[in-house]
Amino acid sequence: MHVKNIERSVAIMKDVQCILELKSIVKDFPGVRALDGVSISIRPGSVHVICGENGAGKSVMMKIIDGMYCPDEGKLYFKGKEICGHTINESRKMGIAMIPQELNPIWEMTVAENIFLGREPKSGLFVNFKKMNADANTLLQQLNIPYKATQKMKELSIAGQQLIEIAKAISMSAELIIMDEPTSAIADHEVEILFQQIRMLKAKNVAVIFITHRLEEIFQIADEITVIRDGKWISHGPVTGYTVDKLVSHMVGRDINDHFPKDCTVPIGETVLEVKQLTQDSKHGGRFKNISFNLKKGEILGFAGLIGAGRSELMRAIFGLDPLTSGEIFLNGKRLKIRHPNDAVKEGIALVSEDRKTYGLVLKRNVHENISLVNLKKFVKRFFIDDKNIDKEAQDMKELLQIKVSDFKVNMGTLSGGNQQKVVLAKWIIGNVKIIILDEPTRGIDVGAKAEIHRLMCKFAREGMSIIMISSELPEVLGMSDRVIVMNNGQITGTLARPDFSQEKIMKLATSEV
Amino acid sequence: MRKLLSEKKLGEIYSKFGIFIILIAIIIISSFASPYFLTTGNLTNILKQIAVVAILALSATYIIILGHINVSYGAVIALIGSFSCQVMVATGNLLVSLLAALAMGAFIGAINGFIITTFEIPAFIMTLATTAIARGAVLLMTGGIPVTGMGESFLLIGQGMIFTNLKIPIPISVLILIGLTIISWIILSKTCFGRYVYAVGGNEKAAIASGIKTKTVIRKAFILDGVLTAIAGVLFVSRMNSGQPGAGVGYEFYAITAVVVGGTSLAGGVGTIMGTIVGALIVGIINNIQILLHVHTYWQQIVQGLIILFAVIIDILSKKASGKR
Repeated sequence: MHVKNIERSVAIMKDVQCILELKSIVKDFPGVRALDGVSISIRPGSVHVICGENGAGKSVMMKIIDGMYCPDEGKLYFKGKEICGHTINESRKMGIAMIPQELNPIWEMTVAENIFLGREPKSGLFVNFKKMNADANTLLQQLNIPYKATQKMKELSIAGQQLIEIAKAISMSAELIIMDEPTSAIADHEVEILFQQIRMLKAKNVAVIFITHRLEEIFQIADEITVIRDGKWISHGPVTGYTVDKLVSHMVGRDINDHFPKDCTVPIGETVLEVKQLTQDSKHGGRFKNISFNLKKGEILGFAGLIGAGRSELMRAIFGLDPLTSGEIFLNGKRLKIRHPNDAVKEGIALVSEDRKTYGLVLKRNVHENISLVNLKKFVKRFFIDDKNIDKEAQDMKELLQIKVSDFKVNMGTLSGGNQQKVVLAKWIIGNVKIIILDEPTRGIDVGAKAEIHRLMCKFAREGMSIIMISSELPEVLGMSDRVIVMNNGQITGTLARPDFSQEKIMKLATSEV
Repeated sequence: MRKLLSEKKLGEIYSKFGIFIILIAIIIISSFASPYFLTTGNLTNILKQIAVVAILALSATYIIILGHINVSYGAVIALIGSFSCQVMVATGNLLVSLLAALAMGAFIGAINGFIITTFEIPAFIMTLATTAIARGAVLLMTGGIPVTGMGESFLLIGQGMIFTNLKIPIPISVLILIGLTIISWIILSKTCFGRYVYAVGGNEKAAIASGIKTKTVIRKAFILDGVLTAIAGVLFVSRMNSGQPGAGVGYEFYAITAVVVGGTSLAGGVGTIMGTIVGALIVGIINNIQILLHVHTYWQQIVQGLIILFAVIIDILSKKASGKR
């Protein structure tokens, strides 16, 4: 193992011709310098991981490479040739492919149609489906991707769709593939499939730029690492030169000792929420059945399971977003009838959705309006909204949650993922929340912001709130929870108390049937 | 690429400095084009002419920010206007006729909102149906004959002047417009309902997940829309001194044009009352200067079409500019 690593680093250090070079790139946005003189060299046949917190400038850099943004200063060289002001289409033609964080396939079309979209093989005026499907199948076989050309895209998992994206990039003879957090939305066992594919790309001498917030992945897949922080270049080197601690301290500029600091001294109180026999029949989705559990004051209750186990749907139904067929919900012994999120909000129940952009925020509107949206009535003074008071409380929230925002009038869409998530938290806790349901609260968020959100969860628990946390990251579930409920296929397969916690037990329950 | 950049700039300038520049430019150009343009008589005239459309545009602003649309204004002002004339003729009481109009407006709005939210019908289709129903209803109600004989007091609303002892007397219709503008601005920017309108139009799912009863918001907005339409309808017939069952054709188009020119996005979530008023002024001034310059009415229609097209293109470009910086 050791020898192999040294060999790898030697290969990197040798003066291999770079496929892409960025030299002293500067990019300014109104009020912020997103990139400040960043230089990077990408070598063919290697995986280059760009590390940095949210807002460090990674996405901006990728968009510059991809041709969406134009740098204000600095130069880009692709295969030794200077490129500037290239469009996204030109990038594709040059051999640069980008697999975005959120995929936008055409769900109703087949795998082959998606791969060859816009460049379908034709015979005369018409699409030659036979050739298209045959070509697609050959490609999929070459890449060892276990799907058929004629499958509908919507039948594939997110990981599967990513593999198809990769196949598409290869079929366009891409020499550089940018992957922006491809693993943020897929389960652990799917990550391995993706990594096998990336290793295959390396063998074909394709260069890969990889962005991820999961530190353990970096050490599995990276050849080289570049760390940027606040738009500045911090360090670069072969992966063997880094440890987790070193990487984290480079990324955040300080040492983070404990990644998951659950404060176990918080006393667990009486039962606050109790649900009995919650079921959703197949007419309404059929995503869960016979769910009973309780939640205590000051408790952090983890929900573990594979993606698609029905955890999110269960919570959405408790919150009134999805329909519930039968079952009872009790809050402090009182039976609740929740038909609309409004009913849940009135009882002090909050849901922070895993899909922040769809269910969390109105991205078109500003921070001021978003932060006050849930508790707007609280800010009404003599019939009208007291905007000064909103700004005052928003300022308190900004300090409490350390939200990085210069002005509350800026549009939500311009904030980084971590800061958006903090605004979502703020809009709930600005009011009187007793139970807060967090669905993948730290997905797609960097280590620094992640630790802060964990710290906040402990703080909320200490103040007497009860927390339900859905997480697909086992270390997070184990680190943060007082108890863990494991679900599989819409049912609870087990409950673990803290002394019984182990990754193996959870994984076993997550795959077992009731 | 260079072309893209210039498009980008155009959008940026527009979104930054807004339409005020365009308004001022049009005023300057018009004042050179016709010496009569800047006279108080003509300016008052413009305001009187835009009053009905501008009130409809205020109303359409809510609906379009919500991400919906109403294409029934023309037929509905004919219906409510004629109805208020009939009530006036029958009772001779101005207040009763006004209240009857407002009640009818609220009722039509309530039905629109109820059906749209309950059956999740696109507002475009619903109000298209409303158009046909309202036009049929007004013909049925009046037998196709214009309603007349409302008396002097009824005419005051659309034609009367106030502060007649001052140098510049102000038309009552303009006063109503100013009042409704202020009220609309306060409702949209200073009340919970207004904020909810932006939130629902900006991201309906996030609004629901924030505990907002989005269907109630939409229903309320359509009731408000109906009430404002009723006021516009009364003003409309009062100005014409008769309830014409066939009148008002194309008013929805003028109103939507003013809203879009004013920077409200047809995708919802974005827009302001001030923008709409400036948009209505721009459209009104362009119409006025064409009349002053004796531009043929056929050409005026073509210009009207080009204005909305231009406004939508600019809206899209400015969105691109904010997306790709």
